[in-house]
Amino acid sequence: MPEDAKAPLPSEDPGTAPERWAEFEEVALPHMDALFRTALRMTRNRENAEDLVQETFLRAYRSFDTFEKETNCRAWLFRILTNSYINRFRRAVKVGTQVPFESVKSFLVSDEAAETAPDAEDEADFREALDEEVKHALEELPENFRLPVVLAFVEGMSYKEIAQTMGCPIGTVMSRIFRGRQLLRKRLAPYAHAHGYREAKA
Amino acid sequence: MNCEAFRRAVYALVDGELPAPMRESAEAHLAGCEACRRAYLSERSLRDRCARLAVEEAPAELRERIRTACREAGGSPAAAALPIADRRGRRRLLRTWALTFAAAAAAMAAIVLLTLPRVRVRTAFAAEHVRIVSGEVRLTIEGGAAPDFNDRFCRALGYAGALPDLGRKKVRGGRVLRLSGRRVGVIVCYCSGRKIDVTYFIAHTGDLNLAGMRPVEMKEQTFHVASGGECGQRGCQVVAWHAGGWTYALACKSTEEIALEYAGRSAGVLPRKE
Repeated sequence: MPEDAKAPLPSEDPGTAPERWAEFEEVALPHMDALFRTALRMTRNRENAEDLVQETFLRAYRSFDTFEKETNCRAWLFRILTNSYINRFRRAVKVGTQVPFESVKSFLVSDEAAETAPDAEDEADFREALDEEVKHALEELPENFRLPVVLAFVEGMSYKEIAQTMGCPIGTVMSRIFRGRQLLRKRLAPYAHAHGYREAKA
Repeated sequence: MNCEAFRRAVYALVDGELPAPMRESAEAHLAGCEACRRAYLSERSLRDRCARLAVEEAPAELRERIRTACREAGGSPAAAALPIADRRGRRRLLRTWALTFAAAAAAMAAIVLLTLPRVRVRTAFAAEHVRIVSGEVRLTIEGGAAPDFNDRFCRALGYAGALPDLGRKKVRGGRVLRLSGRRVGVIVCYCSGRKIDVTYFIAHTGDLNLAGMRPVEMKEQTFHVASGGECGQRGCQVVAWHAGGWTYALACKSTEEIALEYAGRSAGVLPRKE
């Protein structure tokens, strides 16, 4: 995504609060789930994702008057989310997370580990783990590919909408989705195999 | 449309971006070509798996917080910037209190826990995580006596290699859990009775900070050793090492020499015992 992408500037004319809120509630708030999911994939951290979504809505509300009512509200919100993400988190995520060995050592040496028994929810847990697998694969995509892939595959956005969100040409969106898709496929191959997708390909 | 043209168009088709006339032509080709149909289904399954994630919702608490923050900000653009900073401030204050409280609680918990069986300690922790459980499975890695456990465990972990050499130990179960948002897997096995002799642990490299453990060189591999006295009379040895993009660790109720021997065999720097 380009560094120079900027959200609209805050408006000097706030409008009247109750009407403004009612309209914001109607057109902007319904996108919260989608924004939250994407924020989760981008920040890979629940608390940061919540902060990012909150910042996005506050910035959006602040500059709601500059939003052109006929245009795509979802793309507008996602653009603010993207800019906020770049401003706040991009440098931070490069550091990565580490698990101190001490935190797992206690698990390693605990007798409770042996108390594990098969249960009826096993399969549900397992399916959940497989969804986790997809999340993990998405989260491991390089940032430039991750956003367009998440917007297209998870949120079902069109190339054009993604281009609006990212402030770049459709061609760029297509090539990033293409490369992201290949990386994703590589990561999920063992999963696909396990679910018989390979048989379908053979 | 021929196969070559179809393969070029398949991504746009799956993404719903193919213009109508081309889409019809592609669909016509799809109906008559089994190979292209498979390619198409494979692409679609990738998208479908991602689309399944679209059920995730924003927490109600966040929703409420955003409503309040926006409404508090009212129509004033300047005020709208405040609530985050505000919340940060409150959070810091809360954190200070929480730390004080946590320290007191931890001291009390330590006293309570010392008097309880150790099993209780881990329950809440473990319940937070996705569990992959396979009960009592006799697992021999090379012979593949329990491929189900092996596959499920590796798949859930995103681990493409073979499990470490567990010899012919009986595997009691395994689980994949998340620590700091990262995936790690734990395999528990024992040799005799209810005693756990060896526990394995697998995680992505870089996610496991081995600082504080003592490095030991064995052939071309560096192992990191820590001893803990809390696990049985013989004490517990933990040996960790990085290899092939993953971090492995094993805990072993034994002496350091034996623990290192297990680790060396698992890492493949020592010959495997028949």
